[in-house]
Formats: sequence, structure tokens, C-alpha cells
Amino acid sequence: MNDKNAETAKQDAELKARLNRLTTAIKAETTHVAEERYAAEVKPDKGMSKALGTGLRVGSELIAGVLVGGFMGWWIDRWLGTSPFGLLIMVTVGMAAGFWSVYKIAMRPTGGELSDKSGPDKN
Amino acid sequence: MASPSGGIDPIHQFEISKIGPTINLFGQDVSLTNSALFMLISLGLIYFLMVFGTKSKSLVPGRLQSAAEMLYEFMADTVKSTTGKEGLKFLPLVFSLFIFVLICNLVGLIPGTFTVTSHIVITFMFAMLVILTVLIYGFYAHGLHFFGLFVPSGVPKLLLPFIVLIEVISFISRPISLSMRLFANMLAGHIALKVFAGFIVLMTTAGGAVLALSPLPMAMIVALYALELLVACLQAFVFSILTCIYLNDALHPGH
Repeated sequence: MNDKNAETAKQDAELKARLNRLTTAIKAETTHVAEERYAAEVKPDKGMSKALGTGLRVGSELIAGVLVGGFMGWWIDRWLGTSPFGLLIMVTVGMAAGFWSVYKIAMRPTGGELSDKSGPDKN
Repeated sequence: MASPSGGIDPIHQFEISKIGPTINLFGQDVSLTNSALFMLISLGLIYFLMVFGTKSKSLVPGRLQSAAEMLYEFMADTVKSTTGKEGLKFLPLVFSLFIFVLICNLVGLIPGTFTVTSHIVITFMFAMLVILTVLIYGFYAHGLHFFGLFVPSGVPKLLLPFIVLIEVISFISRPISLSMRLFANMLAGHIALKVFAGFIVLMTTAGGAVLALSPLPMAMIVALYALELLVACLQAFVFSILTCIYLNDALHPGH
């Protein structure tokens, strides 16, 4: 009688241990698959081309700010006869505008998706 | 390719020349140029890809069909993720711009062809099309609230006029940067390719020890070509994603 009880208890313990092993194995397998899927989604070359795109954007944004500021200054000078102060001030402001655009690019993760702006219910 | 002085002129490839007879329409010279010819070729390729690619509509797509479907889904995803669901009404515009710029860039990479997007007139008109769409739709949908775009929230009153001035300049600089980026990348890449090709010619005619070194610029051209292929696709993508970001401002002004 006692023997039998001990036998059952031993079997139970064995089964429990086996269940635990299987659960951990399944968990490990699931995370592994998920990680693989994630790795497949985030391809390294995609990140690289995204970064390259952002870099090209930043450069042209800076130049365009200065160009527009300079053109506006030149135009104001011609119009009001304030040469060269209009050009000097507007080039500085244009430079600031260029940096402002770059700051805005850096502040929101662009290049691919705008996760913070994706919701249509925003605003 | 060769200039009168005997050297190699890397700018010659961007020259616009008339093809066929001179046509005058209302006092304007509207003759077919090489630029217009390659625009038509690009349009023909797009037509071929899109019409023949979507003709069979099979469940398991063939090569052409999956290329067309991938391009379409890629652009639809980009528009949806940047502008939200209501931005999808601009998908025809964004997709047309993307595919035209992409095919023009790629056609321009074939030796002997003309790169349509290497002229700032073309890219600036694309950029103006985008900015005018943003302006017209912004004022149509939001009225004077659209000016909220230039007034960021949470700025001290003292700084506000300065910030508004900067925002206005950065808005005006958008078409400039949009057109300049595409044009400058295509122009610079093609000039670099031509310059390295010129090195090969010069080195082989020089002979001797220099001749032995002439495979080096050739290797450089191969590497540059791979880069140019990436840049051609990337610039089309950047152009369309910026179109989406600007359209997003028209759809939801006031950050």
C-alpha cells in the first residue's frame, strides 16, 4: 500500500518535471521564432538605406534654408536699398531655418514611418 | 562625348538637343527634345509594367505582376503610415511621382541615355506640384486654420515672431530642397561616372606604366554604379516620402 503511494507520487513528480521541461522548451522555441521573425523584418540594409536617405535630406535642408534666406535678403536689399544688411540678416535667419528643419527631422523618426503621426485621430 | 579641345567633357551628357523637325505652336518652340523623348520612353515603360503587370490578375503572381504589386503596396503602406487613412486619396499623386522619378532615374543609368531628372527644371516642377497641392488642399480643407502650421504650440510670446519667420522660411525652402536634392544627386553621380570613364581613356592612351593602372578606374566605376543604383531608388523613395510628410501637414496642420 505504502509502496504504491510512493510509486504514484514518484510518477507524478516525474510527469510534473517533464511538463516543466516541455513548457520551457516551448517558451524558448516561441521566443526564438519571434526573434527570427523580427530579425527578418528589420533587415540591416534597409536600416542603412534609411539612414542614407535621412543624411541626404539633412544636407539639402541646410543648404536650402541658406539659399532661400539669401535670396530673400538680396530681394529685400534691392527693394528697400538697405544693402548689405538685409542679406546679412536674412542669411543668418535662413541658416537658423535650415537648422530648425534639421531639428524637426531629428525630433521625429522619419525616413520610414512616422509612428507618432500615424493616427488619423490625432488633432 | 569628346569636346573640341580633345579632352572628355563630362557635362555634355546633360545637353538638351532637338530631335526631328522644329515645331512651333502659338509662337512657342515645342519641338521634341532628347529630354522629352526619354520622358516618353519612361512613360512607355511604366505603362508596360503597370498594364501588362496587372493584366493577368493571377493568384500566384508572375515576375511582372509581383513587381507591379510590390511597388503599389509599398507606396500604399508608405502613404498610410505617414499620413493616416485619409491620406490615401493622395495615393495616385504620390505613386505617379514615385514611379516616374524611379523609372527616369533607372533609365538614365543605362549608358547612352539621357537622365530626365538631372535637370532642375523638371525636379522643381515636381516639387512645385507637391507644394501647390499642399497649399491648395490645406486652405480648402482648413481655411485660415492652415496658418497654424507656422505657429508651433508652446513657444514663449517673445520668441513667437522669430519662430514664425523661421517656420515660413523653412516652408519656402521645402520645394527648393526637394528639387535640389534629386537634381543634384543625379547630376553629381552621372558626372562622377563620366569623369572616371574619362580616366580610363586617358590612361590607356598614355601607355606604359599608366596603362597597367587603367583597370583601377574601371573598378571604381563598377562600385560607383552600384552606389548610383541605390541612390536612384533611394531618391525616388525620399522624394515620395517627403511628399507624404508635406501632405500630412496639409491634412493635419498644427503639430
